[in-house]
Formats: sequence, C-alpha cells, structure tokens
Amino acid sequence: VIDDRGRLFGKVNLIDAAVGVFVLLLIPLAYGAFLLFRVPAPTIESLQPATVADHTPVAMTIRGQNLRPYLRARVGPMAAEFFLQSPTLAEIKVPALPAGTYDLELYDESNRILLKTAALTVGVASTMKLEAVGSFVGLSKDAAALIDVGTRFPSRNGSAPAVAEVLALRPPELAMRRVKIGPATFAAAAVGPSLVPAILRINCAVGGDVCTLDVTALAEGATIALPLAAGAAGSNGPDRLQFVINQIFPVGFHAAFPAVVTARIRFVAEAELARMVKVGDVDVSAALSTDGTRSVTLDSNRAVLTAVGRDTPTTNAQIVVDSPFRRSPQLTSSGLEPPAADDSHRRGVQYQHPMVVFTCTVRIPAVFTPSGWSYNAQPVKGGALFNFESVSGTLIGTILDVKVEPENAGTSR
Amino acid sequence: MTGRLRVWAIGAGVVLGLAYALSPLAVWFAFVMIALLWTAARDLPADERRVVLAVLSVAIALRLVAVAILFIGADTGRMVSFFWDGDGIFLKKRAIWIRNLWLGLPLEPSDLTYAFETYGWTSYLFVIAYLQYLVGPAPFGIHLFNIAISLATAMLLYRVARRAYGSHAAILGLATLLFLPTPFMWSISALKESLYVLLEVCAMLAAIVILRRTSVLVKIAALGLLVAAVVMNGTVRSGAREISALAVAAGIVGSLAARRISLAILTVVLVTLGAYSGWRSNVVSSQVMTRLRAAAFQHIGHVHTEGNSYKLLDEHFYSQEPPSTTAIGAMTAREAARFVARACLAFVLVPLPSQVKSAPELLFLAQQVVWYALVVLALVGLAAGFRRDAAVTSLLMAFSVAGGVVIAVASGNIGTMVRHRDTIVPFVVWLSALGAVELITGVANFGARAAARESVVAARTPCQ
Repeated sequence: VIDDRGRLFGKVNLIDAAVGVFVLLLIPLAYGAFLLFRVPAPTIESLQPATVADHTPVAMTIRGQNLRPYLRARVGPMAAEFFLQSPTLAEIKVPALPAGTYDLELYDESNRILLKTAALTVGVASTMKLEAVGSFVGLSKDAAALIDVGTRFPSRNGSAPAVAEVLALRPPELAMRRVKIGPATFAAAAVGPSLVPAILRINCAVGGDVCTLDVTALAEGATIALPLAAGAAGSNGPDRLQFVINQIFPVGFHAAFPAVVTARIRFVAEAELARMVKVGDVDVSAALSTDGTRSVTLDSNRAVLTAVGRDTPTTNAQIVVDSPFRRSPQLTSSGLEPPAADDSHRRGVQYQHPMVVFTCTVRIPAVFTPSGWSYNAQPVKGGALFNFESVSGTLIGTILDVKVEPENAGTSR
Repeated sequence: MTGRLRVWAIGAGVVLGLAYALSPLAVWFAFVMIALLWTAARDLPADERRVVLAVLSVAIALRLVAVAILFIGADTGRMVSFFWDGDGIFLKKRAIWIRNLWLGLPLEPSDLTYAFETYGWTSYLFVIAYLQYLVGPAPFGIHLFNIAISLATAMLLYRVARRAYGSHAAILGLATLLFLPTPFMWSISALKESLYVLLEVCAMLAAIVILRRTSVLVKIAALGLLVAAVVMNGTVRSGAREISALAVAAGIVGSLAARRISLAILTVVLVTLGAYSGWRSNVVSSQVMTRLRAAAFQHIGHVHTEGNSYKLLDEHFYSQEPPSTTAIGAMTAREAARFVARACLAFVLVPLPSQVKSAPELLFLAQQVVWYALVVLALVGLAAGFRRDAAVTSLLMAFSVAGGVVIAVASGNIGTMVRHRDTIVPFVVWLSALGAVELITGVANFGARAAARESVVAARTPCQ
C-alpha cells in the first residue's frame, strides 16, 4: 500500500493524502457547522384576522415557521408588539389604524428579516353623523373667506362622502386666548388670526367606543383638521383648516350657536336682600367653574340683571329650597381658590317668616345642549330654578319664561 | 504547473472560497495574522523569533478560542458580546443599522434614530459599518477586527521597543501586554479602545520617524501620518486629539531636552516659567479652570451614577446632584489643585482593597497588584530608558502621562476608569519591562561582581 518513497498505492504521497482527506472532511464539517449555527429565516403561513375595522386595535395571530423571540413587528407605519408562543405561533398587537392595506414587517435586532405585503386590510367601520358647534381657528383673512355655509371638506380618497360640511356660520370674531395670571386663567381677546364660529356636520368612523375623524377622537375640546378641496386655497394657501369642537351632538338635536337669551325670573328673598338687588348686577358664579379649573370669563359671558320688578311682600311664606349652590371663589394669599365639591355646599333653606317676591329680567348667555338652553350648567327653561350670585348677595328664583334673541342665533342653517 | 501543484491550488481555492462564503472577515483575519507574524519575526535571530512567534501564536489562539466560545454560546438571532462588553453590543447594532442605511436596506425607524444619536457617538462606528458594508454582516468578525488591531498595535510597539531597549525588554513587554487580563478582555471586545490605541501608536511612530530620519521627504510623510492619526483619533474619542497632540509635543521636547544635561535644565526652567506666567495670565488660568470644572462636573456625574465610584473633590461638591453646577462653578484654584492631585493619585491606586465591592473586583485585585508593580518598574525603566533611547522613552512617558491625567480627572467610576486606564498600559509596559530587565541585570551583575571579588580574594589568600 505504501511504497518505500512513502507513496500511497505508488501514486500519492502519504502526507499529501492525509492533508487531502482532512480538507475533504472539512467540507462536510463546515456544512454541518453552517446548518447548526445558521439562523433560519422565519416564514408566515397565515395571519388571523387578515381584515379588521379601522381605528380598532386588534391582536393578530401569526402562524408560520422559524418564528423566534426578540423579533420586532411593524404594521404599516406603526410598531406592533410581538409575542412569541412557539416557533410556529406568535401574536402581534396591532394598534388602531385608519382604513387601508398594510404590509407586515418583522425585524430582528438589526435587519428586516421578513416582509409580507398586503398582510392586513383595515376596512372602514360603520360611520356616524354628528353635529359639532365650535370654531375654525388660526385663520388668515384669505383662509376665512374659503368657508361658507355648505362648504364641504372632502375625504382623502375623494370618492368617499365628505368628512364634514358647514351647516351654519357666524361672522369672524377675534380669537380668545387664555392668559394665566397667578392661579387663575383669564380669557382675553387675542391679536392675530381670527376665529370663525361654525356648526358642522361631521362623518366620523366608529371605532371601539369612540368616533374618530382621521385619528382624532371627536369630543369637546378636540381639534380636528379638515382637508380643503384640491386647489381651493390656491398654491400658497393651507391644505387643511383647524376646527376646535366646543359642543358635539348626534344629528337630530339641532345644534345651535351659543346665544343670548332673555329670561324673566321670579326671585324670593328676604326684604333686606331684595333691596340690595339693582339693575346691572352681574352673575359672578360663572367666574369659577367647580371642576377645579380657574377660568374667569368676560362680562359678555355672564348673566346680567337688566330689569328689577317691584317687591311683592308675602306673609308667612314657606319656601323650601334644596339645590346645588355655588359658592364664590375664595380670595386667598395664593389667589382665587375654587370652591370645594358641590355636595358640601348644597343648601337647604326653609323660611317661615315674611319674605318678598320680585320678578327680574336677566340677560343670559346660554349654550344649546341636548336638553335645551343652559347657562353655567343650569337649565335655562321655564320652571327651572336659577341661581344668581352677584358680588353683594345670592338669589334663588324660578324661571318664568325664556326668549332667544334672534340676532344672536347665528346664520341660518 | 505540475499536476500535483494544480490539485493543491484547486483544493486551496475551494477551501478558501468556502471559508470566505462562511466568514469573509475570518479569512481576512487569517491573512492579516500571517502578515503580522511574518512582520514581527522579520530579521530576528532564530531563538528570539521562536519566542516571539510562540507568544504571538498563543495570544492569537487564546483570543480566537474566546471568540469561538462566544459564537457557540450565542443566543441565535440576538446581537451578543462578552459580559464585560455591554457597550460593544450597542456599537455592533448601530454599525449594522448604518451599514443597512448605506445599502438602502429597510430600517426600523427607531433604529435610524438610535444609529446616529449623539450619545456614545464615535467614528469607529463608521469603520465597523464600512467593514460590514464590504463583507456583509459580521457581528463576530468585528471581534476579529479588534483582535487584529490590538495585535498589530502590540507588534508595532514590540518592534520599536526592541530597537530601543533590546530584545529581553521587548519580549517581556510584549508578553505582558498580550496576556494581562483586562487588556486581553478589551482586545477581544467590540469597543473602540483598540482603534484609539492604534491611532495613538501611529502618532507616536510618526514622531519617532520625524526625530530620527534625515530624509526630508520621509519626515514630511511622517508628519502627514502624525496629523492624520491625531485628527482621526479625535473623531474616535472625544479628547483624544488633545491627548495625542500634547503627548507628541511633550515627547518631542523631552527627547530633544534629554540630549544634553544643560538642555534638560533649560527645558525644566523654561517650562516652569512658562507654566507660572501662564497661570498669572487670566486667559490661560480661566481656560484651565474651565476645563477642570468641566472634568469635575463629569467626575461628579460618575459618582452620582449607579456603580462603584470614588471621590476626588472636597466633600461639599457632592451635596448638589447633577445637573446643578453652582458649586462646581465656584471651585477655587486651591480646590482644583487638590482635585487634580487626588485624581492622579487615584489613577494609580484605585481600586484599593477597601474599595472592592463585588466578586469580579476581588478577582481584579490580582491584576491591580501587577499594575502597581508595572508603575514602580516603569519608574526604574524611565531612568534606564533615557540612557538607552531618549526619544522613545520620552514619547512613551508623554503618552502615558498625558492620557493618564486626562482620564484621571474625568473619571469617578472604578470600572470605567480601569477600562480607560488600560489605554495607557500599552505605553507603560515597555518602560516597566525595561525596568524589570535592568533590575534583573543589576542583581545578576552584582552577584557576578561579588563572586569575582570572592575569587580574587581566594586567589590572593595563601594556601594553608
């Protein structure tokens, strides 16, 4: 086998042969190492559910092969939490997404290792029509001119119904801004872009327990962006307008602008107190809300006595009043302090001695609510109790009648 | 080409191709190591060549074993590194993200943000990203790259030290540098320290060439290398540009001053006068105080951060937590002087046994004893070094001191300080090795002289 020159079968040197065999052995060894240490690429066989409603978070189940821990998932533009159950089963928490078709991407710590195109279809959920009372804000004079009754704000894809339509409009007003002075916040007229009060009908998408426009849940205080029709504002104009919602109603409640109403109110009070009442008294109870916010409103937003009727004495009147009663804010060293919880200030009054009855006319800035006109969380309607708190005293009365001043009702719907 | 040669060539090509497909950087590493061994052993006597090749081969093998263990034990699909290399994991991730960006590969949006965030930014990221841009993702190859850099650094310094101090000191220094535990750990990590030290060594070598060569062209080329190394190092680590520039300047001045005793005295006088007049100048003193206050602020940050820390300032400076700078802003010159003195002392002495709080730190104490010995021996080696090669000794000392002072005043965490201190170990070990050789030689000579005296006395004594 090995000759005297150290050759195997007289052909190959023994050492050469050994090295050759070693090299040949290295090849399967290297292949084995490659198989052993190679991280197999994950694959996806199915995704459940593949179709979901828009603006609704959902847990998606991924079935596939070679799924592994520490992967990161993205669905469209959003990161999604990835939970591994087994190499063939995982779950991702898909956040709320607007309608559309989205790719699913899986990343390890450094690279994208899987892309599944059109993995998830987010369909349009049921829509709902709402009416919102509020104001377009941050408008330039040119932008304000773009808005009129009947103006429609188109949807993104154009073919779907308009997202909003202007139902009523008021002339532009100076914007108000909140100014914090000490612990109190004062409302003050702002110099700059004006605001345009408007009532809109909005088509929103119902997702979960909220109704959203784009990604904004509609609610009082929310600001929504309304897209203008292409070219409506010219090349340099804005492509969308900002609208701040003050009140929101389902369609059918006939939302209306805040208005000044005139109410006749019959007050009952001690004679001494009645003598203190005079024309021009301003209700200060609205100066401070009871929810902890310290906002001092302007006089135009407060009820004002415009006429005081003659006293009518009563004898041995028995008047029982049990009503939430607002205290005035307390002026302390740190400024205006809000009153404590309502319940601690409920007042039960039972008089068995002579009192006077008198009727006053009160000018009340009221907002329209689903239950009718309201001022400072008090209903403004016939028969309702009305608290009037001037700087010198407090009165409780019953509203006899209410008249909405037509010039303040806003542009026709 | 003979048939046998052809077969071997084909076989080698196949194996090389397979290996390159599996790990391109491993193949490049093999080529670089062959070149490194050849360069290290070039022109050496046979005995010395065997020792040097053995030391380097064992150093390479140990490092490869460490990386292989990391590779085999790695959690598949995760970016891993050694347990002491937490920052290295983040560096490797960032480099891959940058490489993916260059290649137009998809990136997770947050990865793009993290890839270029200013915290921990270093141009070393571009280096390892470009490496992977060329050869593909190489999370373990980065360790090989750092090993190659650190071994090349050791080899370059060995060649310099051999010429300056002789073969014994050079081999001792080489073995110390390659097998000291913590420098070994940093050399196999994915951290930027290896590149930082290599660039410092390049600047030092360029300075030596400028001092020694007579050819103007060579001097100009060396100056170019020096400037490039200093500027590049400034992008690898903040403060590196100042450290390198200061060290080169001080090293060159020192080497020139060491030529004559009169020049040395003149230099000491001029430096003292310059320092004094500089301190009297508002511009200089305010600049120095501003930098010291910044260093002190960084030190306080270390102390207030989780980990085993030590204090260098007067106690009242620690009463305010960062980012308050009120107290530091009012630091006086005397307080600053105490701060610098304590920092320099702590740089050498920390961690003391009383400061040890964990098992790894307890293990580290053994190396700390070696470090103390290195410092003492370096002082011995310094005197011998100036006699044998003033330029190399002056530069080694300058890089050790400049790096040491900057690290000392900006440190406050024991682990971080030790890691940074290890960046000057490559300069100190040669002086220490020379000191050790001088001591051994001195003892041996003393023994030989004593034996010679005894033999002379014995020869003169008449036989009884």
